[in-house]
Amino acid sequence: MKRILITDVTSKVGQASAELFLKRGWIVVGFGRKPIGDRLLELGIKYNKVFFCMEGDVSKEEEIDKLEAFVIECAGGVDAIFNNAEVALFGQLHLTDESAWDEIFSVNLRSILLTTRTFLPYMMENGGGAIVNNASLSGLQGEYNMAAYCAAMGGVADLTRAMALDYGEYKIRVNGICAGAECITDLFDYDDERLVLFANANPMHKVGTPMECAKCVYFLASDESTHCSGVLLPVSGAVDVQTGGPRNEGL
Amino acid sequence: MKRVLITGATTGMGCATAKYYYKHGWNVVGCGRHEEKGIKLVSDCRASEGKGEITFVCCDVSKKEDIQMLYNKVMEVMGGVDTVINNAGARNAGLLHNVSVEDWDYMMNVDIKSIFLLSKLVVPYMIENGGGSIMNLASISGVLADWKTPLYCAAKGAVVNITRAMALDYAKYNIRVNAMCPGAVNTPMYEANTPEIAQEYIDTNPLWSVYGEVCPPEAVAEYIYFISEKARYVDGAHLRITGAADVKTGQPTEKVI
Repeated sequence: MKRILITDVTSKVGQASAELFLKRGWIVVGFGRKPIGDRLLELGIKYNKVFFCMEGDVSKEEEIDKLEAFVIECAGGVDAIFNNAEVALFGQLHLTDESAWDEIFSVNLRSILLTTRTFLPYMMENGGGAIVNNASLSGLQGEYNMAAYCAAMGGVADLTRAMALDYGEYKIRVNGICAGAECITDLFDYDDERLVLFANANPMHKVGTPMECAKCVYFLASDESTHCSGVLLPVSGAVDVQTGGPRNEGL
Repeated sequence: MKRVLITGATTGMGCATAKYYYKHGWNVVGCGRHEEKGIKLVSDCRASEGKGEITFVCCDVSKKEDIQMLYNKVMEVMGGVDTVINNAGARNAGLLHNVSVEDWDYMMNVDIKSIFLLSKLVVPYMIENGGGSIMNLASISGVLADWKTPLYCAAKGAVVNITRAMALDYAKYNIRVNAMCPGAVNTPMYEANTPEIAQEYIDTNPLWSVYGEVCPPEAVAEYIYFISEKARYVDGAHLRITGAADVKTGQPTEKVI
């Protein structure tokens, strides 16, 4: 039975991923700063021997140490990690507070260092594994008004490639999930009118959902993708593959 | 006289770029951590045929106070700045799970956070001054990955993507932001490799193996100057100088007849 650690399990994509992996028969250990909501509590009841959650901050070394003990106690180790944790940040770079920069880099990027240092040795000893990093679509291309976030996620994207090169020989695959903002950010509620803007800008005339993202995480973490590594998989409806010129309606 | 700030100006690409701008009649402020190297940079420039001016500021861009001090010096010496070349960088090797948090934090401070902190100072000036050019020294190792240098790849990946975001946000102020992404350049960072690895960089490069050398820093300086000062329509770009080493799938098709 395969075991996955999901950081920021309380985010929309974290919850969708937990649900999907549990449904597919995995053991899931969830970690996050926010209190567990109703959906995860229900999952905990339904999957009570295979779903474990712990509250904690993925950017703090001491709390990752506690997480390690928790993971070993509940699951004996991990076969996969979904480094999902992120905070989003809007704002012009020159007006960004240093503390906000530091938090973004700590939660979104540096936390991958911490989970890797802690859990990769278990995977190496266990003969392999799969890591999925949340690189966001905003790690592959630039956004308006999100330069600090783009910086951190750009770091996640290329870190993912570097990890894939180095850990392949240990049969550890490392891939990235690059979802559009509407899928993953907890800044937009489902009825937020700004989502209409995102839908209109999207070639598929829709926004992505957390479950659509979770299915891609599942693909990358599972045996469905055993020769895929170093992949940065956009979940974006093709919005990012355009040159940026006008949409030539009726040309 | 146009004004340029170059970080990490005492060695490698920063040094070559400082000399290039000086030669082209610019007012240059170059910074670095080593006073004696800075003194040499200034005297080399003044002994050359260039028509520019040059000032060295001794500082460490991994330190926030130093960045403020550097900016103050730039304002004092040049009265402003038209081009900023974020060249200072550090590199180290080791598998990610063996990287210490101290090494991680230092690398991020030098390679990417310095760009953020310096931008907080120079961008408002450039906005008020009607424009400017920012050139970030990323690396091909920020676009694709190297072996056993995950921390460097993460930091340079951040530089590549912050460049895109900055270009989008600052174009309306007539500020262009681009990223230079070289492969191996003949600098102290390259010389830190073992002789075997240094030779391997040459031998495995499609074009540079024919030249018998990796890229000279002067070639990067020239490209930086062209993109930053001449190529007005280029923005948000990552410019590669790699000898075609990076455009392959990596499969050994050259060995298959």
